[in-house]
Amino acid sequence: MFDKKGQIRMLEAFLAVLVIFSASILSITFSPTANFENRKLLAALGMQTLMKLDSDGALGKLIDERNWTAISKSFEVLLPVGVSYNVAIYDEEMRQINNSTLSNGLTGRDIVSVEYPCVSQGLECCFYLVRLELAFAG
Amino acid sequence: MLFLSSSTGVGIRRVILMDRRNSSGQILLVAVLIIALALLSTELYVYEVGKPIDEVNPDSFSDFIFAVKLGSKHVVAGSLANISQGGANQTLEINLERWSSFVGRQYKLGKYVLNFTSKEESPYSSGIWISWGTNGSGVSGAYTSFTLRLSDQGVDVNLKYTINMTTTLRIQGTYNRLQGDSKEVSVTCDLSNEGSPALAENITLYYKSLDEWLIPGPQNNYTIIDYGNGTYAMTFVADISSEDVEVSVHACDQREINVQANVTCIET
Repeated sequence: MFDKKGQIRMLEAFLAVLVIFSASILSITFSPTANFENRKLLAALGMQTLMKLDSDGALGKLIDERNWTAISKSFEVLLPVGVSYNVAIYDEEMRQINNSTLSNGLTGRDIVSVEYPCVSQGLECCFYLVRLELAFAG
Repeated sequence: MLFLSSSTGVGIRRVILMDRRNSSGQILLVAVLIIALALLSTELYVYEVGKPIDEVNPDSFSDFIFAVKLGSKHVVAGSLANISQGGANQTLEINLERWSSFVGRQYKLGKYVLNFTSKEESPYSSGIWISWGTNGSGVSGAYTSFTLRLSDQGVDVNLKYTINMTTTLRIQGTYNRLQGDSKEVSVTCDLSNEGSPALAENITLYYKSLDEWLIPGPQNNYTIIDYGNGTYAMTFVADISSEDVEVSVHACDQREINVQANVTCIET
């Protein structure tokens, strides 16, 4: 009788410890500070990638040419390994113009979206909004 | 169960004691649940409190400002390219109006106003300076000042910047007399963007013969040397009856901005 009572107490104590530990693990994993740092890093990475691609007007030119393959390849080269992305391009009237998926399979818990206003430097200036979604894969 | 087992006083006490002992586990479970709820609600509270830090992130608008500045540069370059290829001078202001309206619509976290002023002081008109002279120098330029006002959550930004874009072509020409009207002409061109040497996307040389502008071809032993630093040397042989050997160079830089320069070659 006394042995059984002790086992139940042990079980209760174990459950209590489990609850407290799981709460601690959750708090570390989902801590806003960690998320914020990751999101900040991804946002900076996305904006740097877009600005690098657009520094000489190449991004606008590729969009003008509707060269989605070259745009995808550029992102794959410029973004580090382990970062997944998805790109949507909109025209001045906010209609999506990329009819094919520009993505390497966006996966990850924290997805950051960066919006970049882009100009094509051709004879006729066209304005585009490039929405780049990024996440640390895995 | 209490009625069945309570035949004696000792039996009743034992059952009550057992009942208390059994319910102690339930109380502990409720206590664990309450502690779990308290921990969870604390987590949620900390998470919610942490959220505004993300919203006041200054990087979000500073990045947008950089993007708008780069975009403004591309608008000016594109407009100048258009005007240098025969477009109207107003193209620059029309495109900048569109750009200003476009970026104002895109920034959703606050108020974003982009104003611009095109330079009207000489030699600029509506922010554009096109001077393709006969003195061996040609300029295609644009100058616009921008004022950017951004009001975000607790942040007010007032930023002024100017975009001054100039494509300059300088040419020099000399010639040697050969037999009869035949002349060997040498032309040197220097192309620059904002004062720094720039490569040409394409470059075409013309010479004047009998009031007609002609392009020298292989029949004229035409050669062009690209020094890779914005300097190009061209030579050709042609029958030019006139004493004045006039040449014209039309160049287009890698931003698609056209520029021309004419010069009368000097006899050596």
